[in-house]
Amino acid sequence: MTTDVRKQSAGRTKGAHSFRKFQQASILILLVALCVVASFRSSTFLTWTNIVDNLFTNAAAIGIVALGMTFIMIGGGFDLSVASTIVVCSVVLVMSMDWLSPQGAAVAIPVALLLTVLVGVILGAINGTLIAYIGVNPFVVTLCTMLIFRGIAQILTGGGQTQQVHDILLRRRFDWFYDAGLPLWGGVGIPMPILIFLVVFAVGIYLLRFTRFGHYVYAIGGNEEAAWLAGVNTHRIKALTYVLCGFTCAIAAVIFVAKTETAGAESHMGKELVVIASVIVGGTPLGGGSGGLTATVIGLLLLRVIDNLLTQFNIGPEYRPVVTGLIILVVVTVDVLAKRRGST
Amino acid sequence: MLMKVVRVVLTVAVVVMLVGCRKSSDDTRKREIGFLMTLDHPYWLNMRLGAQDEAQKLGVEVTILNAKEDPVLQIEQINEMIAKQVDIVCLVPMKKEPLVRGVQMLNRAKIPVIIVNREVEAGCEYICYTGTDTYAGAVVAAKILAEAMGGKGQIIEFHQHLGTGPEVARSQALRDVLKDYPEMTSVARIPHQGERDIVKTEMQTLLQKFPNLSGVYAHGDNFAIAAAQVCKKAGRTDIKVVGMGGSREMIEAIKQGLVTGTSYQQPEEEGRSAIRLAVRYLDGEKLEKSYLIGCPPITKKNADEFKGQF
Repeated sequence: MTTDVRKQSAGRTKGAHSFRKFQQASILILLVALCVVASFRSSTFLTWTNIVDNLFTNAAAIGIVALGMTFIMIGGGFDLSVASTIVVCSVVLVMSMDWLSPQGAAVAIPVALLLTVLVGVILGAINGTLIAYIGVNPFVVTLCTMLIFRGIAQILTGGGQTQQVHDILLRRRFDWFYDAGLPLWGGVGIPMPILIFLVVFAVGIYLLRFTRFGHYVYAIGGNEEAAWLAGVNTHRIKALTYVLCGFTCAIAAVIFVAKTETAGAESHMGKELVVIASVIVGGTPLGGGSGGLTATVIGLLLLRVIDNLLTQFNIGPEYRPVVTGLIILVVVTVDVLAKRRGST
Repeated sequence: MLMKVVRVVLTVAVVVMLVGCRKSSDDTRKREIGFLMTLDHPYWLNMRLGAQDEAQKLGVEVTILNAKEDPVLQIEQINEMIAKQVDIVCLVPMKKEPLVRGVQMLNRAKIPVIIVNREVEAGCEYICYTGTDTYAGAVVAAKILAEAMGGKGQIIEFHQHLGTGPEVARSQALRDVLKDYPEMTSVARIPHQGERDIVKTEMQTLLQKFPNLSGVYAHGDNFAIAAAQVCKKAGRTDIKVVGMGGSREMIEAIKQGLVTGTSYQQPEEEGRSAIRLAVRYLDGEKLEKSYLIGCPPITKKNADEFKGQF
């Protein structure tokens, strides 16, 4: 099945290309249609507080990880360990900041940030090395590292105790990463998490579209062997996508820590599935070879809007997973059916 | 061509949305309460039933969200409540430190907060606390155990997720009660991880490891029952087991003599109390800082008097 998908996407004819466009457009239309209905039915949906301060801000951190995940999945890979990586990064961030707090904020914050990014990159590199260089199945590797990383966080926190920086002033300083923003007119502004997201998004677009690295990622997802024969160092490129994803997890951890002023080993359970679902709903296929960052953002927004609407319309908590699951299933099924028709 | 159509559709949609937004401005709506909790145990389901029922009686709308024990998710849900412009929020804080930020966000949005069942760390403002007096309830259970054991012997403790409010209160309660019974010693503390299965596996090992064991103190009825079943299978019915909660299953088990006792919590009443207080506050009444709901002891003697709420 995998080879089949790869062959399909490897032949990137003009027809397939416009089909992709159509698919992305259909999800975008669905997203906008939902918003239209919502703005008629609920007076609190289309407000700055709901759309920017709530929907976008809450989507930002997880969106950054979804961008990293998109690189992996375009390259035909998969990563279940992102939530655990975020947890380890946030624990390291809080603990190192607490440890460095006697040195003052000017030292503690940058050094702790550096350490966090380093940890994210190392964890990504562990996944990448095992998958790309040794050739173990990505599902198996990241399933194991998901458990291992979560366990490491539990060990670091002494069995899961909530971690907090004891120096309250320093803690407040760090909140800047969540509370600050770019002021616009009339007392509203764009919150920091969204700004961070936009920067990562811009860098991601540059990497994927305008560098050789980005083209190689598509090539590997399309047909790894062909890419290898064409002289691409597929091992290195694949490993790098995991490193990149680890890096995005570290950035997300910064936002999460600023948001909660704490880090806990039990947080973010099941977030990897939200991340993977956004990438898939956006239109990046499981086999890789096509897709893109904008698509992922649309996919993530669709999921978040659905979630937001369930709250706006006060749907009982037990129905929410069913509704969310069904909508993802419908989107993906329609995609498969349309593709089948398109290919014959 | 295709992209043109898409562009037209999107433009029309956005225009419609902006127009629609203006049209559907405020009509007189019911008062809305946000109830942020978790639903991973029958206890919470019961609290939710109580809250929903009371809300219906008092004619207010209640939105219930499940944070699944994740404080980060709960803070996101707080953002959702602010965006939904609810009138008041009843909050079961998943963890006491991170939720300070969540309550601060509500403070900033000028939405009043009532804390339910668990505590939140200092640094934020809320109207009042209502809920089971977890510590007092645990003391009741620990005393039942101490008296049943005659004030001496080895005990083990199956504790809740480390660092959660009830875990801290219940562990402290046991430590405090043991101060009055110097001949009782706690020989092991094991996390039950919310699974009876884990308790059963651990209990088998512990029976081997501590042959002189004479008591089990479990943070929760489910785990007391699981531990007692293992003791019974191993022929160690002399081991006294207490839980806390007062579920129907537990009361039945106490009647049968499988378990020694428990302290009776009333989640439904907690849910009702929170909604009642919310409505009273919105009506302009001045509230006190704390409304505690007590937990009477249940043993074989009085088990017939209790029905169990979950």
